[in-house]
Amino acid sequence: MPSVTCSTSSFTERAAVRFFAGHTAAVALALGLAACAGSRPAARTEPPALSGPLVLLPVVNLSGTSIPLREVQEAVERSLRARGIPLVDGALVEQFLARHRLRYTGGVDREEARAAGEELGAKGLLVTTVELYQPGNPPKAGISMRLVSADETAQVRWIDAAARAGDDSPGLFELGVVHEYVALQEDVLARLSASLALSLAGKGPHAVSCPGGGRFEPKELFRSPRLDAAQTRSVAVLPFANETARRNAGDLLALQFVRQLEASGRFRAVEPGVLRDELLRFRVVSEGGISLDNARVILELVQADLVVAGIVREYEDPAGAGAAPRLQFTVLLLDRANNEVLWESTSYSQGDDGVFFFDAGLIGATPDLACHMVRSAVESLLKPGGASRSLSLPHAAAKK
Amino acid sequence: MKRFLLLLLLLAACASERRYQDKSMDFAAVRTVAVLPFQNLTSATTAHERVRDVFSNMLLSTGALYVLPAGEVGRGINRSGVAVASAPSREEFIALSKMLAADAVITGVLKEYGEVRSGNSSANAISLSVQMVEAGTGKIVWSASTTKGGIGFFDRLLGGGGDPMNKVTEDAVRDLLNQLFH
Repeated sequence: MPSVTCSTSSFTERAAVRFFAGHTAAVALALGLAACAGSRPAARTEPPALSGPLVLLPVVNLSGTSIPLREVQEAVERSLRARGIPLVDGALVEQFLARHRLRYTGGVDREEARAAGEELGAKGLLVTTVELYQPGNPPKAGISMRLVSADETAQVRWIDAAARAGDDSPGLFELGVVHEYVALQEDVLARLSASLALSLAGKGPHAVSCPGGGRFEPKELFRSPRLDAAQTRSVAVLPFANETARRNAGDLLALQFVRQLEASGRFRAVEPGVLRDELLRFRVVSEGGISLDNARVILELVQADLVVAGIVREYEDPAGAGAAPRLQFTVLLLDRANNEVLWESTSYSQGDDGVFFFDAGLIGATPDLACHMVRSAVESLLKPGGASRSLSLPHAAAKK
Repeated sequence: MKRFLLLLLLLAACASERRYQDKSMDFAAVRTVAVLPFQNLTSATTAHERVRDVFSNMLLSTGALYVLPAGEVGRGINRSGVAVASAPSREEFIALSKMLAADAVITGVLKEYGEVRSGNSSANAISLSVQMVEAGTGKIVWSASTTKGGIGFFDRLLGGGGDPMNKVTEDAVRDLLNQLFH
């Protein structure tokens, strides 16, 4: 059996390779090469982000179900220490959180970041979010992590996420199926720890993306030519309005956008904790979509150029073997300079879109699907000449 | 061949266009529009919001008009004290469009959305009508309706659930926009 290796191929692509490897070596080789060629995730390598101990904040549960937080926290810590990442002692972190009365650990505000740097001597704070927790058979796990600098700027210095289902790569005679949730979680955490370690060493990307692909492209799209200017802009990503029955779906989508925008290299996302703090402090509510007034206020508070807001209309993470997740969202980008919508897109897909044979390419975990879709959406944001995609130019425009 | 052409002509004559367009209106002058929340006459609770979202996005993506963000429209509705957001009065239309600096306001009614059944067959269907109201006068300048999806000949013959709801919605909106821009 030939060995096909590709550092940038996605998990599902590797699953397809393993499946076909059992049948014919040639097909496996061809698939492997195709995967290497076509799906190179966008990644930005930057100099070493931070060197020094990091604060591992208590894990945040956005999975929509109850999870054993203590066990997950221990697993995260174990995984990071195994990679040689220096962490501030857990007891000191607990004392710090109690002293500052910090209960929300899903983000870091400027004050908290500064205090952590001064009092704990930390260089950064690690925010861990459990996005998917399904211990059934096959199990499904999804975790995202980001590193925020421990100073007044509270900048996102590294961000990554990993999600997988136990049957993502069944292999020959289903030998590759993972039946234990703990084993799956260990794998997910090992990937994230490795990514962080590489980034800290200055050898890995600052924000890791996932493969996009035509099948996850936005279905409707508007893009203003004003976006063509090649400059790095700061973006505040608001939590999406959640119209689904899935709890926290809006926050999860917003996190995906933070990650993909950072990975694009053209945008610098404001740390969600900073944004949350300002929204709470100034009691800014954007129920039913964002108004231009609100956008102006938000952008002024966090000193950003653009604001991203959206609505999640479907977010289904079904349990069971071969069950395909579904996702639908609309997102828009508002500009502070001219109070205009610069980009708007609607995406809807499911995990088995474009899957025809032997479940090759099936995406089983919803965060993974979200990653692909958001990556495609962000690509459309970067691509010049994206407007007028749905319809041919009508005569009204021609008249003008 | 002649018979075939005659049949085509007859069929074309039978087709009725459910559209009104004010002949005196200069549509090229409309640059900014506000799409109000659609009225929902279906049992699907958030269907009107979904359809409005698709309509706004597709209208914006034509590149011919600027569509105000939904949140901005919501703010305008609250501030101008519109009693029923999906069906304002003439005065309310004028006040709202002035507040939003919009050249026209679009309202809509969602009449059908979801699965329809006939015997053993089922398929998704949508029925939607929209109106455009001129900002300065509060006059209806364009109105159109469309129905898409439903159970076709092949669905009855071979079964199958028809197109997905998202696809049917896009088809319907595309049809409306074609009526607007022709």
